[in-house]
Amino acid sequence: MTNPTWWRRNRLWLLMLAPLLLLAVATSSFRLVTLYLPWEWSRPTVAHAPTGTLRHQFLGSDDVRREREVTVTIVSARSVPSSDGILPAPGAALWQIELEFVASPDQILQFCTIELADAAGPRYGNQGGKVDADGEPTFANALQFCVPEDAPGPTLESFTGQLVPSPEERPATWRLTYALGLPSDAEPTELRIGWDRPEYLVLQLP
Amino acid sequence: MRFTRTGLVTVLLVVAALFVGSWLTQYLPNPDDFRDDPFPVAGAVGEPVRLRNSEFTLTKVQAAKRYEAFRQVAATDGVFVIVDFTFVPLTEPGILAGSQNEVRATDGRVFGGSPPLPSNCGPTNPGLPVTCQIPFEVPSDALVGLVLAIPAENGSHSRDNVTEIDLGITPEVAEQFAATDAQVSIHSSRPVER
Amino acid sequence: MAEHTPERAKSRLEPWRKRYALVSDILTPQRIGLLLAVALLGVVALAGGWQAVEGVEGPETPKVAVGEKIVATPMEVTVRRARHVEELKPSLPRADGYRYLVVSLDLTLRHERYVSGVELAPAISLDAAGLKTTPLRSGPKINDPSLLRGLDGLPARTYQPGLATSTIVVWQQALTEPIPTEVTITFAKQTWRQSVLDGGWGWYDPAPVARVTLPLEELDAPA
Repeated sequence: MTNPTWWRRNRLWLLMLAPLLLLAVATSSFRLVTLYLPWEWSRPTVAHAPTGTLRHQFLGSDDVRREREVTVTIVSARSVPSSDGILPAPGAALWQIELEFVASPDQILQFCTIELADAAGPRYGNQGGKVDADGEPTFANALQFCVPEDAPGPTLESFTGQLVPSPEERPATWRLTYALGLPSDAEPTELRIGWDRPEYLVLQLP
Repeated sequence: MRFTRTGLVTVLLVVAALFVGSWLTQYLPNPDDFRDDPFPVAGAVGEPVRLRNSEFTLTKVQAAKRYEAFRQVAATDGVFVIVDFTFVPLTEPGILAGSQNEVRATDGRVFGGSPPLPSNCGPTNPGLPVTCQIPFEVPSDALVGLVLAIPAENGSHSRDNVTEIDLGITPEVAEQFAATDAQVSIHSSRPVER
Repeated sequence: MAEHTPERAKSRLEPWRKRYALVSDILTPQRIGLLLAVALLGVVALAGGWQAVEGVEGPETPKVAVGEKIVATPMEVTVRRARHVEELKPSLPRADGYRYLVVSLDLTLRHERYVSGVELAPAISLDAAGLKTTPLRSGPKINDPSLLRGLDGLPARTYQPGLATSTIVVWQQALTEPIPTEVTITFAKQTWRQSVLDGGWGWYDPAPVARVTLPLEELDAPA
């Protein structure tokens, strides 16, 4: 094997050895891409503006694959002393965000996740930093309601997978207001909104 | 088949080599042995302990025979070790379920799981610390040297960061704790000024 | 080799050798061995297979006196009393059509790690008619008992290693059944192993180790 002509005869394969090894390692990471990442918020649609459109496919709890298309615009995002009876906790600031949604009435959009973020910093969600008039922490879900209350459009029950039609047809455009508790020195620059992992929309704060 | 002497010797040598090899591999380190090992971060009472996604500061350790929460009282024949700590996530909103924290005794026993009355810590946003009180029911012979293990995420004590905070229970303190008859009222998670 | 008594050896085996020579080209020694092995398997199969011994009933579960310590891994149990009651505020509200059969015992966990009450409940079973069941596809299954803490009446969510915990084990019996005069409780040991379904560690395979029979008394509700 230490014969010099052996090296000469096999030089092509020896040269390819390192790149092939790297390729093997890369392909063995397929589980990361196909299994793990789809369960995280890993595919952003970055709008570079206060308005953007999210278009993606998702699998509902009834195992039916659907298309989702919704346009979201940040109408306003500012720090407020109080919002609808909710006050900021000590050390926190209350950010009130008004969003305008545009979507066709048959889209399923009931619950979404809304977070504020710095460009490269932590993300802030709906839970935390908010107290009521007595100073007690308010109860808040991680998920937010993202459709008008009286005309939510079709909704998909998570456990039964049943598609419940809307009592009233949802308008093509509607606005909703949210309040998030952030540390008082935080300066959010973007808003993230998503319905089903892994796709979500990133909008710039105006 | 022809039995030759060299053939027989070869077979015996191969069998002997396999035997020695399999016996040796028992003593070699096996990836399965430490694949599930946690990544502990040590700490003590009063010091901030930083995990990859959150920071904990243990502020108080007390003992009680009974504790009250949600207008109900839990009692024990052992001791309730109640730990007060502040919790602040670093990168994303976080919450700690009361059932995922553990305390470990020096003899290897692990106490924890869901307490008789539920307790949580959070939820809260990064930069907004909350203070929590979590009770652990422990027999009085396991008090000395208890270490608090709070996992970074999802209650997972393997393959992820875990705190290893010594509760500072010396034999003298353990004697006091074991003799207590106190009843403590536990508050639910609430925000604290930074 | 056949030099010593050639005449006698030949006369004994010769006819057999001749008969075998007729079929030896087909029935080689290897094939005969194979046929014998197949025949053996066939006989064993007809006799019920290698597992036939499973059908045999094991020895009866030993009876233990009330108050004696029972080791049913990972539990160590001492049974105290068995009582029946229809309502016991605040832990046992009146249930429509059912009464409660309540057994008080001391349970100490002998394992180095805490175990949840729901993992221990399947190891305690009661021999009584009309116990509440859950309908399953394979038929109705008697519900596992609920475990409550004797000291405070709260659900026994978790048992801590080495801590003797006064426990109330609760079953529900239909009111249509007459109240039994005595009940038998069976305790099973379990094995700490990985689940074949998901690889998670847990307590499985309950196997009875002891039975206790005691009179069923009426519970005097506290004044």
